[in-house]
This record gives sequence, C-alpha cells and structure tokens, in this order.
Amino acid sequence: MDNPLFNPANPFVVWVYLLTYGAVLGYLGYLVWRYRRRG
Amino acid sequence: MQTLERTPTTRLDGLTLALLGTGTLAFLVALYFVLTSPPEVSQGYVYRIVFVHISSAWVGYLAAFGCLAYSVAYLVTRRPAHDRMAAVMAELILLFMGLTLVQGMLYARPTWGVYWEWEPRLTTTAILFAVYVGYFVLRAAIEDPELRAKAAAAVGILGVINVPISYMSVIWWRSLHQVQSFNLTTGKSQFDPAMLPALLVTLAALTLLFLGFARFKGFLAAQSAHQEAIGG
Repeated sequence: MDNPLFNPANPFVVWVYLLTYGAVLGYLGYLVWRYRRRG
Repeated sequence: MQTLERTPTTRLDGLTLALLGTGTLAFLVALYFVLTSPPEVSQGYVYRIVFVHISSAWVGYLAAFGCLAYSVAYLVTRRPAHDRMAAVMAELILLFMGLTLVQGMLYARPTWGVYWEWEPRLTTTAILFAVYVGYFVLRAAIEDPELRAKAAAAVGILGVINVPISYMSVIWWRSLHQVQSFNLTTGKSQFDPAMLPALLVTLAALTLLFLGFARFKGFLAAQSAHQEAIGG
C-alpha cells in the first residue's frame, strides 16, 4: 500500500519502540549497575 | 532535626525482584501483542504508537501521585525516607513523562504533520515535565537537608495539580489532541477489542516496572544515605 501510515515498518513507529524499550530497559540496566557498583 | 534511621538491608527483597522480573517479561511479551495488533482504519500501523504512549503517560501520572503521597508523608512525619522516595518518584516522572512527550512528537509528525503544536494537552504535559525538572534544580540549589526536603515537598504537592488539568485538557479545550482512549470519568473505551491486548499488556508491564523501579531506586537511595551518614 502507498499510504506510509499503513507501512508496518513505518520509521516513526520503529523509532518510538526503539526509544521506549531502550530507555526503560536502559534505566533498569543503570539501576543494576548502581547495585553492583555499591561498596 | 532528622530522625535516626534503621540500617538498610544489603540485598534486594523478593517483591522488588518479582516486580522487575515479571515487568520485564511482560514488557517483552507486549511486543508480540503490538506486532500482531491490526491496523487502525485511518491511522494504519502508526496507531501502534498509542500502546506505549498511553502506558507511559499513565505511569507518569501515577508517579506524580506517588510524589504527592511521599511529599505529604514527609511533611507529616519528617522522616528522610519519605523525602528520598518523593525524589525517586520525581525521577520516574521525568523518565516516563519525558518518554510520553517524545513518543507524542513522533506520533504527531505522521498524523498531524508537525512534531509540536502549542495546544492544551501538549502544553500542560510540557509544563508538568518542566515542574519536575524544577524539582531537581531546587533540590540541587539547597544545601540544608531539612529545608531542601520541605521545599521539594511543596513542589511535589503543588506539581500534581497539573495532572488532572493535563488529563482533562482534551475535553475542556477541544483541540488537536484526540480525547482519552479510556475515559476515567465515564468508563468509555475508544479501542476495538482486537487492539486491547497490546494496550493492556503494555500498561501492566510498565506499571509493574514502575513499581519495581521505585522500590529498587528507593533501596539504592537508602543505601547511599546510610553510607553518607556513617561517613563512607
């Protein structure tokens, strides 16, 4: 289909999901890093 | 005067680990439901952005009420632990409301044609975010721990006023932003049942992760405070 809104790989959708999963799992990673680093 | 605190435990408790584990698992499972959700009649697959957009905003609002509760608790009890948890909640507001704003901009571009419009929902959400940036600027500017906690609690209490204004803005001042997908005042849903699983699983996953993050960060903040208190 020519309508970009109907493209399952629409870049705006891909960026939103990359950003959201990256930020949420990245924050979890940051907390784990702080946990392991503490004296 | 600050009250004497108990020595914090050195290991994460089972509930925190369970919240983080199930939340992370549900967050990954949510991707499956998102990728198998049908296209919307006018917005096609771009509509899939709403699943994380609504969930992030919901968690951001939840964190604002958490910040309110801990700020009030601090002013009543003057326990430093409540001040620390209010700051943890404010940090989570910045994470989730920041995500909501960026997701909204990336959703607006293909559907409205612009990244940003100073319309009521976007403006009130941006103000909400700015208030909690101010919360941390204020904390960084005051050295006295008691005065800092009191001033931060005031911001934590006043800042939440913007949550119902932001939530209701789409009804009070009809503009570009669509009305609530779930109207909490009428109980009506805008979602086709085929789209609900993706939304509900994402919503549940981010809520579990929010609770896990709050407990985890609260634990780390308690440990840091204890280290400081004993001069470590």
